[in-house]
Amino acid sequence: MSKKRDIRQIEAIAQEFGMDDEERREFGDYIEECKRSGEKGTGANGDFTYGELRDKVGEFRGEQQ
Amino acid sequence: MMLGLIQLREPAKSHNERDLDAYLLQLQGEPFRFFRFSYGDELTLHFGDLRPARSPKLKGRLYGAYILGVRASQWLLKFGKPGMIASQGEGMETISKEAIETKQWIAPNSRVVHATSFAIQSQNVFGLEIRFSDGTFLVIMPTTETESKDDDLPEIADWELLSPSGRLQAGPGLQWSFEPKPDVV
Repeated sequence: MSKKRDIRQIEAIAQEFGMDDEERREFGDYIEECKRSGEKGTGANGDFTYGELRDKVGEFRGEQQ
Repeated sequence: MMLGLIQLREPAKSHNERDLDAYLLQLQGEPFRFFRFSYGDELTLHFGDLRPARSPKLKGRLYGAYILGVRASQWLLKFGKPGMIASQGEGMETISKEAIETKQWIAPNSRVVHATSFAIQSQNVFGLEIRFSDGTFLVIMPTTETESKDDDLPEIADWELLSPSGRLQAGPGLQWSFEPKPDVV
């Protein structure tokens, strides 16, 4: 998946969940941190799918799962 | 003497390069804090006063009052030390994202002395050039990467500057916009 598509996915999630710019930036950093800590998605090259990114919003916000 | 004023309380949208440069004046004089890579290998640069992250999952992380995001654009850093260049691309010594983030490539508290855009007419994009007080030099050059449009994902800017006043975005194409923060309006 292209880098641009990764960023566009974060943008789409931010719009869907009503994130402001600061939260959008933090969400992108959180997903990067997940990736660096070894988490992998089921997409190509271990990328997170859109559905997997959606599922991460709750934990990112510290909401009860 | 010609004096100028920029209204950061109003949304703006234009193709005018000089007006874009006026909005970039926000960044001038701000101290550089650090580099951070975000998801999608996006390089971000943080400037100005620091605040803690809002998310409980990012405890201990700091964020600059000004965040420059290069989005999916190409970037190039020429460091103050002679002969040091960092960029994306082939034919160079490999350097990790962590190395870019942790080493003091830019002298602590170096300030932005110059932030200016430049139109690349042949590619229909706005580039960005930033000079720091220690001599470091950053250039952002948007790519014209073509992507399949068979998805519903939103278009993104070629680069963006988040500031206490709002969000300045350049691109896609030779256009830019400024959106003030809701609480600033």
